[in-house]
Order: sequence, then structure tokens, then C-alpha cells
Amino acid sequence: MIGFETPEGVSDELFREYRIKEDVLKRINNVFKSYGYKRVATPTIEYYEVFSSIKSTVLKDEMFKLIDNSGEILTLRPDATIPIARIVAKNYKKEKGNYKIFYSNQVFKMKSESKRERTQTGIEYFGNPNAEADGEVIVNAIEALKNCNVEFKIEIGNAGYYKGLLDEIDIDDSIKEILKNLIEYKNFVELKSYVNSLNLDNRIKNAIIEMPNLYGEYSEVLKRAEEYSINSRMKKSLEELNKIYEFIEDYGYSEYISIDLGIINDLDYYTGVVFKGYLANYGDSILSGGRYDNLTEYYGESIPATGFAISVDDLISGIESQRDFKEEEYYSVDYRVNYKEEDRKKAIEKAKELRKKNFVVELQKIDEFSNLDSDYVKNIINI
Amino acid sequence: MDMEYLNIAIAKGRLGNKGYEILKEIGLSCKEFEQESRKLILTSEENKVRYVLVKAVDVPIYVERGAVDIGIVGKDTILEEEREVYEIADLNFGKCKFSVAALEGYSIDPIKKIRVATKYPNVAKNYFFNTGRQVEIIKLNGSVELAPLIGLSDVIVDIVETGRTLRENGLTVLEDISDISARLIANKASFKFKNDRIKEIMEKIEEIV
Repeated sequence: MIGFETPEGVSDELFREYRIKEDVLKRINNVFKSYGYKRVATPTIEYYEVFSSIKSTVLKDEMFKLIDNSGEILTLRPDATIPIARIVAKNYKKEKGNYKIFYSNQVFKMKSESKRERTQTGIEYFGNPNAEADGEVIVNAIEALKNCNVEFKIEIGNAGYYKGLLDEIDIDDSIKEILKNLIEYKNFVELKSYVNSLNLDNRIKNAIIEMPNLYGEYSEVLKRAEEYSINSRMKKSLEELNKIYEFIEDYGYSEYISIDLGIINDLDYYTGVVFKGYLANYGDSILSGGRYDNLTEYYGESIPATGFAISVDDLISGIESQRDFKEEEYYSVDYRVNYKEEDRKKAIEKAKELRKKNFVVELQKIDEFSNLDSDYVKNIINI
Repeated sequence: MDMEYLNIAIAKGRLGNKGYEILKEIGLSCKEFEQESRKLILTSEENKVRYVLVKAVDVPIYVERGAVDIGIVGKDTILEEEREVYEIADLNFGKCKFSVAALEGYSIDPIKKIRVATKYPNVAKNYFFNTGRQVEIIKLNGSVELAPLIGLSDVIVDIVETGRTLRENGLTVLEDISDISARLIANKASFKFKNDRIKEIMEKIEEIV
């Protein structure tokens, strides 16, 4: 006999669980569709080189590797954005314009203690460099989460702000890495003493030390961030943020937004606004995105782009930590038609008629083997 | 857990008790905490706070997963556990160092692989990796000082407070790795959803420590 266990980090998803996932995906994807995003699918298997040579949010050691017959190294798709950038860059050569794309697929990453196969859904908006595009993408994130009836917050930052600050200083990459970690982990105390040990201008020191503090309510943070802004790149990043915020405000969603200029992960990848979504009572972020104008350069184009991805499994765990999914009178079968052998034709006709009206119908012959369990059946018809 | 309460993971023992004293001082006292009991969850309705008693090494994961909002834990545990949490305040007690120590007279041979005994394999691995040296890590669960004495390892990586235990065993510090003290850590989502309370705690702590 073969065991029932599955490899580390993957699991079967059964009926109820899968139905919840389907429902959540539908709620999210309906939002994307209503904004004119079109769905694409990309291969599950890709060249490893694509993901290892492009600077993105994917780490090399997290990827699954496979060897092709020819000796080529392949990988299981660790991320959806790069393949979509390829699709867009390819089509862009024929037809310039905006591309609004959404996807819903599995991504694969080897991480200890966590799921290795995850469902991810998200949108990518190519071709539009304006704040309105970023705003629309964030509005999609807000509406998607609203549609899932969950308490959430979106935190927005701008990679340009910290990049602008780094422009002012000539320091080693290893020092930058230490600073990045201290800021990311909001390690206020160690950041302060570390920065003070560096040989930098006081104005710059103070600005770096303030980085993890630049979070909270929009207008208050913006005001403080302006005080520390010392060059045009930093100023421009705040202006961008302001335009995006105003756009979201026009939609009436500013209550869901706060600012965190300390979101500075993946600075090699993001070129402008960055954002993350958090759920109340759930540990980690469930959504992340931002502007990445440089990605299509790997494909010989220069197409501005912005987008985000939702980790659907995390979102569902998060929703469950806030409330129980109502087993609101859910029946997987609308009608069961019980029939005796001699009435089979009549029963089939009845079933056909009901299925045409989009009901879920089950036929059940009544004999000694009959399955009389009817918990999942809403209506029973006896023929 | 309940939204309006602030949930705090705290280690049993000296570190936890001292941490509690600081939180008490800033208005988060909890009568249940001060009574002798075997309860693991201690609530103060008055101050809207709930203490969860866990093992020190488990504090970071309780915080990372959002089972609690904040926690008090030593920097040693933070470095070893490498969890995704915000490290928001230094409580300035429990001060000591991570150090590399060896028998007096021993010096590291740069060509040979160094055998390192430690209770903190991640800390040791990261330190030697970042300083470009090859090591063999031997994970022990206690009495690490013993390892070089009986030839199980060349050096040890351990917490050094006064250095007395080292001296009594004929060991001496070769290199210091990093400073350690008790820290306040926060769950990332809690930091956002309960920011008013957490920020207030940070500010009050800064005043008194």
C-alpha cells in the first residue's frame, strides 16, 4: 500500500476548502474584470535562467529546479509577473498601447516551514506611467479585499524616496544592506546608533534615522517626509505619492490607506510606488505590489508597469482568523431526483430540464444500494 | 484573540519578570501576573492587556504569526530565530555579548576548518560565513564551555556576560560578535492595527530605560 502523505509544503485541497478558495477568487477576479483587466495564463514550467538573471522579488535558492532532456535547467513558476512582462513585451512590438492583465495561478517556492505551492492572483497594468495607473491598481486591491468582507489596511510607500536619499551618499553595498534591514525591521534603536557611527553629513544621518518612523496617517507623514527630503528625486517621489493618494481619495477609499516610506524591500525591482496589504489579526502581509518600470528592459522594451499580487492562501487564513466562513445553508446539490428503474426516462427528462436552468441535479435510483445521505441536497423530488 | 486587548508574549523566568516590571511601570500591570499560579494566560481587564507565558525561544514565532501583538525577548533569541518581526525598542537590561571563545593559548588556524560548538547554530553560521571562514557547527543544548576542554570543538560561540564561567574553565574570548540586550518586538500587522497603543508603549519605554 502507498502512504497518504504528500511532499513537504504541499497538500490536497478538498471540497469545502476548495469551494472557499473558488469563492474568494471569484470575488477578487470579478473586481479585476470590472476594471477591464483581461486574463492570461502562462506556463507552469519556465527556464530557470529567466528568473535567476532578472532582478525581481524571487530569490534563487527558493526556486524549484528541474533538468530538461537537453540539460537545460527549468523551474516551476515562482512568480507570475516576469512571464506576463514577456507576453506584453512581445505584443508591444506589434501593437503599442496599454495592457491590463490579470492572472490566477499557482506559484512554487521552496521555503522551509511554509507552503511550497501557493495560489496567487493579481493584476499588471503596462503602458501607463501616470499616477492614475498606480491609483487604479491600488483601488483594485482595495475593492478586491472589500469584496472578501475582511478588515484590512493598505500601506503605501515610494521606493524613490529612499533611493533619492541613497543618491546623496557614497557607501558600500554591505552597509546599505545593514541599513535596509534595520529600516525594514523598524529597529529604531540599533539604526540610530549604527547611523551615528557612520561618517555622514548630519542632515543625511537624521533622514536615515527617520526612515522607519515615516509611517502612519497620510497628511501627517507626508509633512514630516517633506522636511527630511533633500533632493529632487525625494521630492518627486512624494509628489507622485500625493497624486496617487488624491486619486484614491476621489474613489472614496482613503480610509483604507496609510503611508509607510519604510517599505524599502526589493529596491532593485521597484521603481516607484510600493504597497502592502495587511489584515487585522493576521501576522504577515497578504498582498504586495508597486511600480516596476524597468522590467521589460530585459525584453528590449521600456514599458512602464505597475501591479500587485494577492497570496490567496494567506488571505483565506487571514479571513478565517477574523471570522468563521459561514456555512450559510450551503448545498452542493440543488435537486436530487429519486426514481424507480421503470421511471428512469422520466427522471432524466426532469433532470435535464432543471440543469438547463443552471441547477445542480443528482439522479438517484431507489433500490437496496441507494445512497440516502441528503445533507448536501437542497430539494428532493420523487418520481 | 480579542481585538481590544493587547497581547504580550513574555518568557518565564528572569528575563520575563524584569520585562514585566518595565511594562508595569508604564501602566500595563496585571494582578494575575503577580500571583503565584500555573496559568499561562494572564489577563488584566482594567489595563486591557493579556500576558502569554511562553518559552523564551518561542517568543519570536508567537509574534511573527500574530498569535500575540508584541513580545519581550533577548536579542540572542532574535538573532538565532531570524523571524519576520519588527524590533521596536531596546529595554536596556540583560546586557551581554555574543562572543567566540577558546582555550587560552589557542589561535584560529586560517587554513583549517574551525569546529564550533554552540547553542546558537544560526548565529555562529552567519558570523563565520560573513567573515569568510569555513566552519563545522556542532549544536549543543548546554554546558558549551565543556566542548573545547574535551576536544569536541576548537572554539565555542556563546553568550558572555561577565566572562567568569569562561575564566573558570580556562577559556578566553577571541572575538566579539554582537551586543545583546532585551528587546521589545512587534507583529507587523499588529504594529499597524494597534499602532496607537504600541507607539505609546515605545515612547514611554524610551523615557524610562
